[in-house]
Amino acid sequence: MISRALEGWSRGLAAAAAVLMVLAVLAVALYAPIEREQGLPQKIFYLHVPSAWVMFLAFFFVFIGSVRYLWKKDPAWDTFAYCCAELGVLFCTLVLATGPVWGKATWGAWWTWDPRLTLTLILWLIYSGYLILRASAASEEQAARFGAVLGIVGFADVPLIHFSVLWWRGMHPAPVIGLGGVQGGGLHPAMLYTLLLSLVAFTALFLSLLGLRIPLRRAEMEMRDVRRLSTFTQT
Amino acid sequence: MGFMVAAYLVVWAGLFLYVFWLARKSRKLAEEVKALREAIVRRGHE
Repeated sequence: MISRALEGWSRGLAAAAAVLMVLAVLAVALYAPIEREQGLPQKIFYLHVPSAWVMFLAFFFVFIGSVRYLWKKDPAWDTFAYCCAELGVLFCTLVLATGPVWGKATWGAWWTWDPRLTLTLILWLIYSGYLILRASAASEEQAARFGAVLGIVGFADVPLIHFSVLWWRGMHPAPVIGLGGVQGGGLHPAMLYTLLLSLVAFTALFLSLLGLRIPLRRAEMEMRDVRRLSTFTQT
Repeated sequence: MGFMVAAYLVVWAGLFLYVFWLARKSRKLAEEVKALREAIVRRGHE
């Protein structure tokens, strides 16, 4: 299973993530050219896009973990989905924090009700709600079941965010790479390689954080059971 | 320059805060395990 593999590789992944992050920062500072129209603020692109990619990946994993949990009733899949949701919210927060900084520098506004921005904010609200729901449910089993349903339904927002720039007129440019992207994206090769390096670095960082979070979450759940058992035996 | 630095600071601060929060959670859990172990040993002696 993915979570077991991640735990086994967590040290190697953390080391790889650290090296890749340093390389990505060096590439952004020294290798990627300064864009002619936007200037230095365009370099926020190398943080904003990889954060968004990791956010999508995390919520995709929540979807997979939630489907598997409802199907197999294996709590390991619920733990996997929960940890991915937590990391997804973290990276979604980073997307929502870096976006306005870049927006202010290029559009002159911190926030506009652009379809992609609005849908990303809705995604953040959905998965923050997921974490609140998990914390406030009456029982662990109920929290897992309700969370799984929300994890699946909430994922419907992800393709909407991706295709929003193609379907509706807004401030966001069309994707530069990937599904629906412009071929080559018109990106300078040095910009493209720096972006790819940043994408790999952020993915390694996400996987290494997931490799740390899953055993911790499992230990928390076990400790909760022990606490409950000790209260039960004392009464 | 200011906007770029602000964005990088926000991302690195966010990531460090999350790792710090994980480390704190882990330390708290380790303390709880230690207390539990001591309680079990005490109960064994009684």
